[in-house]
Amino acid sequence: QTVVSLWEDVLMSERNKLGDELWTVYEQVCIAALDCQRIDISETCIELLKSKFPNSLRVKRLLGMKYEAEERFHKAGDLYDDIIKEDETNMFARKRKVAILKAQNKTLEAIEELNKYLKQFMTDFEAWMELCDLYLAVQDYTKAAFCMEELIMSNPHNHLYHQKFAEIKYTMGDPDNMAIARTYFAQAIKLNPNSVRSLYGCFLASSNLAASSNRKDKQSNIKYAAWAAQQLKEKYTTVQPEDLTNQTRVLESIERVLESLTEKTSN
Amino acid sequence: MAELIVSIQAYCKILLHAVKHPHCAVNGVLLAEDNKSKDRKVLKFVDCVPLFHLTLSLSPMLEAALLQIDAYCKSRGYIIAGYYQANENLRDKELNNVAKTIGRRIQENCANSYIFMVDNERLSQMLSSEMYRMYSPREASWKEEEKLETVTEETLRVASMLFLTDFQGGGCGGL
Repeated sequence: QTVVSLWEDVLMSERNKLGDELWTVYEQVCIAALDCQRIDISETCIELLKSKFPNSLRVKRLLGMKYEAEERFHKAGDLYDDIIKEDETNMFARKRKVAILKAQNKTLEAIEELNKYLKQFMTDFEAWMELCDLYLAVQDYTKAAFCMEELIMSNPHNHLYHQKFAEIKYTMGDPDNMAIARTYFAQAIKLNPNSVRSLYGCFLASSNLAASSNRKDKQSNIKYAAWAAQQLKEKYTTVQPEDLTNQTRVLESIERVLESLTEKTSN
Repeated sequence: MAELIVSIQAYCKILLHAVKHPHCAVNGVLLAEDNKSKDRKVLKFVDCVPLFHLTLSLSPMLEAALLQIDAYCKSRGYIIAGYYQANENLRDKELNNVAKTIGRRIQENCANSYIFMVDNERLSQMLSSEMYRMYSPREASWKEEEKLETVTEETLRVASMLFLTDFQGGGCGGL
């Protein structure tokens, strides 16, 4: 939105001063305008770009995006197919086709299309992330976990990937997955000790494991949970003002979970 | 049939949460006054707690959040009695599986609970009726409630005024 208002107020009249940068600016303004549903501005930009670069695939893709914004999905799809015919390695057009399916809520087809794309372009991490989210939307946790595994393999130091993977494993529920979840949360904490989310994840995963009966490592799970709770308490006391913490009763809820664990062992 | 009231605060918070993240799905819970002792047929939603945007369905954070909200509610005499969700897609106002699962969990704690599915297309300045559809639990699934008046004129007016303020990421992004 800021881009569009900047364009309208300032840049439009000062176009000549931008020199060669002008065309990149047009492209960016066009996309920003589509985002804000200002089809008028985007049409102007596309016309200008077309007259300067008549056979450009980049311009064609902007036209495709405009059709998408107008919900003329068929036309957009055909246009992208043309682009792919002309240039088989064009990642952008293929991804837009997936976006079209997603916009029409055809999640399963979008998953299929994205899978095909990833077979050819295996290193596209954004695509793997998107596929993971699509699988989560249809609640296919196993496949979503697989996507995250690919991402972790590519970027093992990114604590967010470990965290998301752990969350998916936790959601799957059974004890083996819960143990895996706990490990990955721990790894995420190691990579980023400030991540409250991973601390909570570790706490909950360990509590869950400790609470379920017949686990040999019950004691060690209780210790993990207690450790995570301690870390969380420290974070809350140092970062948040005390009255806010008291109001939201955060620490008490953590205490209660811990107590219920230790009660069970004494029985 | 219980009468439902949604306070200005709850309604506007839901609106702001949805508009703040125009590119994502958002969800949250609604808190109501705990009426068990009073035995009245009016359910008043006084506040809401926005939960997530982007990925709505992963359990650990959901459990952590509900734990905390539960503790907060007990200290104030509230109860988690509702759940709202706004889908990512502009035209998607279906009650999807995520909403049903979370709705069920809330219902286990509070029998008289409701799901509010926000209709993205109705998020505009000319608000003449509520921006969501309500569902109440019936046997194995959720049934849509017919036009229940849940908000006052005052609430709708305040909500429309919010749109006049230009705040970051708000306004036309999701429309």
